[in-house]
Amino acid sequence: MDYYEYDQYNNFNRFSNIDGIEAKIIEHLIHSKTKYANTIWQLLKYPSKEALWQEVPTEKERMALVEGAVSSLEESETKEKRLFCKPFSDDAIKDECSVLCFYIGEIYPVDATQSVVSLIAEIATHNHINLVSGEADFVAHPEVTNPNDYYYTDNDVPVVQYKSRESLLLKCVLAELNGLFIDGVGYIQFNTHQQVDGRNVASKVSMSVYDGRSFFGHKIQFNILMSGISENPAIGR
Amino acid sequence: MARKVINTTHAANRYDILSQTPENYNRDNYFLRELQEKVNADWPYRPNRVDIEFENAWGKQTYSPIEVVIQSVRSEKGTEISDDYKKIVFRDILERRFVIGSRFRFGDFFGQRGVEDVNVTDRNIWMGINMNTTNMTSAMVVERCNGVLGSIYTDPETGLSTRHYEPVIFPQTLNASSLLYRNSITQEDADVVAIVQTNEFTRQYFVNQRFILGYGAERKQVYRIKSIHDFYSSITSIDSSVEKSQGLTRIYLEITETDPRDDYEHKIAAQSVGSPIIVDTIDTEDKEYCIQFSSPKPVPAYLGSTPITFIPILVSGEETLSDVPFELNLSLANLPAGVNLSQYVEVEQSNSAFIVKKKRAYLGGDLTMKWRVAAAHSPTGEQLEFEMQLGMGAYS
Repeated sequence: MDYYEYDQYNNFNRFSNIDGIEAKIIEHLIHSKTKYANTIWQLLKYPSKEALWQEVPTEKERMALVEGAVSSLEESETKEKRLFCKPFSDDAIKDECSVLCFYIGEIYPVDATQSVVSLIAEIATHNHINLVSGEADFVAHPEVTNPNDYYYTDNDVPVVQYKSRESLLLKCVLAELNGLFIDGVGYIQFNTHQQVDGRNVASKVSMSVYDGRSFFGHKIQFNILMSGISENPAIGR
Repeated sequence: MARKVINTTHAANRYDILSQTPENYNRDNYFLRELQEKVNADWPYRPNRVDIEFENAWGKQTYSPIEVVIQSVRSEKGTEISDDYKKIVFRDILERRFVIGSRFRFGDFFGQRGVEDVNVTDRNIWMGINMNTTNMTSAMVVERCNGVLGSIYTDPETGLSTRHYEPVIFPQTLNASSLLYRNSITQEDADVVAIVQTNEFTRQYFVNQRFILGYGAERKQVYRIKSIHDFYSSITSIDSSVEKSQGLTRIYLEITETDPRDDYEHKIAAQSVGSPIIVDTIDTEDKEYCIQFSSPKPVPAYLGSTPITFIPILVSGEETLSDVPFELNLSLANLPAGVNLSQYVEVEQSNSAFIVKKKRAYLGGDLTMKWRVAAAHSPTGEQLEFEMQLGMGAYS
């Protein structure tokens, strides 16, 4: 490797758009109308057992749940926020609820022009409300029913009767964000495996979110291959 | 030197004449008899003589009048401690009805509110915290209950639940944990201490039980029990029956997260276990009416695979009003428009019995049953409506 001056080294791995990742993901979630996005917002907004039977939150209602978002809705104090761009918020734990947090975890430079940025999504749920009713049966919502092999004797059509809120949230976050393309950043991937300095930099899910009190949750590590070379010292303000 | 006066007339053995405290409470003891006569003679001239009420059945919160003398409590140096503490002096120097934990009810005698403004049930409840059982006269230190603990009490016989409010003392002094104690800053522990009477209701309290205290309803703040110390008994005994274990229970609470089912209107917090059926009673001017069921007994909280036969009866106090026809209206929470309720649940009526059958599990919420007595059949001449909820899922 040749010897470089500060001017050259300084051009490498600039991550010029790393500071907008969380906001861009949150914007995506607010506007997304997929089944998974809808479920995420239902789980964040409604702490009740029948969360999946409630109305899907509108964009305005979704906005009101985002930390710092200014909303015309009443009742949008900090403690009613459910979506954060920091590892955890003690403001949210006033309520028994589910929360979702996005933040940048680790960065592994592969070489001078490429790095693996791990984006962490943390989900946490209060232990009292983890049980949610299945979202449908064949009569009320035949289009989204989850059939179940197990036969309930008092039930004509066996359906999934209850779910773990945390598992459901995990499924939906993975399904909604894996492969999502973010402008100027790249694809959020839950599949990347890279050997960097002998370490295996991999996406993973671990149940490591636990406040030692009432909440538990998963830490989901997405990987993003990012580069970013710039000769403009002013970039990335 | 004055000697103790001991009546040995009926002494069967020498233990009867042991000169130990407590005092020889023999009614034939002429000293005690004359002391009582002296108290009686002085009684009409005592200036702070008032009529108050005492709880006539342990834990039941029903009260009867009694005339006592109320004094302020003073420290050893003679300064008044706090008006939350009072000393109640009884006329009967051998007063045996009251022990630590006994409750009294009295309000402002000379206070801000005139007597006519104060509803009887608004008066303060005071709880005995100290009683000298070896004095010649009978007196008790009581402390004002400055709050209530709301919980659900389920009648094991009917299966129906009522809201129960237990008077409670939240001690005001912080002792060693107060901020400026010993001039160094010690952090106050956020624990809350609550002192309640040990009775059939408070003996059902459990660790992790959740409560809404004081203004917590406004603030949406909920506490949970960390530990319960219920061993402070008014007598030394191993008998743990309700009658024998009269005393005080100390409860330690800490703040916890709010639950969507917390009932701030009634100041009753939800529990993570159990699903009580609460049916509100209807109060009219002179009577209150409530619904009960002669079948099933007790009423289950869930509608399972076997049909339930409901036979509702209208009850007013202890009296059952017979031949009052009921109508039943069902609804399911979160049922989408256009979906018929009869696909999930079905009612068959025969005479006064309603057979409710679940046809398929419903996951969207509870089944609301509205029992109605039409105005034509109602004892009040107006329509009566009672509402209750049953679970409909296989898991709740």
